[in-house]
Amino acid sequence: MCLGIPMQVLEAGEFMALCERRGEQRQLNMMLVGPQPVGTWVLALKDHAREILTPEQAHQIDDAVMSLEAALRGETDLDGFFSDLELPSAVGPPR
Amino acid sequence: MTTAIPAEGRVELRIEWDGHAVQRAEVRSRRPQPGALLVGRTSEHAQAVIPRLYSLCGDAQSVAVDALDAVLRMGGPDDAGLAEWAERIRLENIREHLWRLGLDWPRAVGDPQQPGPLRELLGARTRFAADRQAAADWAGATFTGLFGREHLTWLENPAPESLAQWLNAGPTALAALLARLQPRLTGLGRSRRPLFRAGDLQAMVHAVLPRLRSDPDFHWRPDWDGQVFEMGPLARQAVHPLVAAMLERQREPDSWLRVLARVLELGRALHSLSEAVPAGHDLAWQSGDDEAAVGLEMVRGVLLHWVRAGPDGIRDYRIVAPTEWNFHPEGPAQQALMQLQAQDEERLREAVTLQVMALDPCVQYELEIVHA
Repeated sequence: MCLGIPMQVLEAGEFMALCERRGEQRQLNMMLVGPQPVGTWVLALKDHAREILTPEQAHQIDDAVMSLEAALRGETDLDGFFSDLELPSAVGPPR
Repeated sequence: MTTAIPAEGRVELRIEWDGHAVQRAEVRSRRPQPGALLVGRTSEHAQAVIPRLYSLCGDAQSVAVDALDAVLRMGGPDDAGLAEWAERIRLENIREHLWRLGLDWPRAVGDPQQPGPLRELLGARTRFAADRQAAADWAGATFTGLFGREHLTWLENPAPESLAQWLNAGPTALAALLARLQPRLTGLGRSRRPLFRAGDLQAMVHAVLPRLRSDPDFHWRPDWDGQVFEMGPLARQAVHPLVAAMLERQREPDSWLRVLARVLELGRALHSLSEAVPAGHDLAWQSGDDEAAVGLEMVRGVLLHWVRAGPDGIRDYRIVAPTEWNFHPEGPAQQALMQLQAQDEERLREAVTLQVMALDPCVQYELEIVHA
C-alpha cells in the first residue's frame, strides 16, 4: 500500500532538499511544494515531497508508521502511538 | 535508489537472463498489513489510523474503511456517502494520473517534467471538494492544456488512425511525450493474464470473502477462482472502443496500451469533472455473521478491505491492494518479465523500468539480475 513518510527538511534547496526522518536521509524533489525552509515537514513519496504537513500531521503519520514498524518487530503494546485518539483498546464491538 | 523504510514494504523482482532473453522471473510483493494495529480496537480507531498510515492513497483507503464501518453498522453505505466517496476517488485518480504522466514518464524519457496541473490540484484539493465550479473550471483548463483543442476525436473514436493523427500533430507536451513513448512501449510487457472487468466487482467481493477468512496468506497471493487478474486503468478502459479495438488486434496487452488507457482515463475524468457530471462509484460490499468485505476501484485497480469483528472489537483486518494482483508471483508483471529480451544489462534494466512503470506499483521495487 502507499505509505507516505513524513520527513523534515534538513538542508533547503530550490529544486532538491535533503530531508530526514529518524536518522534516515533522502534527497527529495521539491517541485510540487516549492522551496521550503529548514524544519518544514513534508510528506515523501519515493523521491518527491508531495505536500507540506503541519508538525501535528507529521507526528500523527509518523506515529502510525512507527506503530506498523513496531508491529513488524513483534511488539504488541502499541497504545503509545495513538495517544491523541483517546480510544482505549477492546472497548466493545465496532459501533 | 532510495533505501526503503521497513514499513513501506517493497516489491522484489529477480530475473535470470542469458545475455539475450529472460529465462526465469520471480516477483515477490511483501508489504506489511495493518491488522496488528487494529486487533482489539474499534471501527473508529481503524477509521482514524488507516488514512494516516496510507496517506498517499488516503482517499481510497479512507473510503474503504468508512464503507466497511457502514456495512458493519447499517448493512451498507447510503447514497449520499457513495456519491461523496466517488468524487473523492475521482480527484485522487486524476492526481495519480497527473503524477505518472506529468512527472514519472517525462523523466523516464528525458522530457521536461510537467508538474503544473498536479501542483495546482494538490494545492486546491480542499477548495475543489467544496467548490464544484472551481473544480470544473480547473478540470476544463487542464484538459485543454493536456489534450489541446483539436484532433481529439480519438478520445471517443474507435479508429486507431484518429489517435495517430493526434500523436503526429503533437499539439501538447502530453501528445509529444506519448509519440516518443509509443515505439518504446509497443510490444513491451505483454501479459496473458485476464483483465479484471469492473462489472464483476460485486461477484468478486462475494467470492473472496470466505477466502480472506480461511486463508491467512490470501492477501499475498490473491486469486479469484484460480485466476490472477490484471487490475488498473487498462482493465477499466478495456471496453473503450479504441482500447477494445487494439486489444482485439494484438490479443495480449502491452505497456503502450496500459499507458494509453491511463491517458484515456485521465481525459475522461477531467472531461466529466469539467462538465459537472457526478462521478460514478465502483464500490461493492459483502457481509457475513461476524465479518465484512468492501471492494472499490481505485487508481491502480481493486482495493479490498476485510474485517472480522466481535464484542471485543476487531479480531482481524486485512487489505488486498491492487499491487498484490499485478505483482502476484504469477501475475502480469511476472509474465511481462518473462517476455523480455535485451542484449545488454543496461537495456534490460531500462526495459524493466518501463514495464513496471506501466503497471504502476505504489512502492519501490528492487531488481536483481542473475546471469544464467
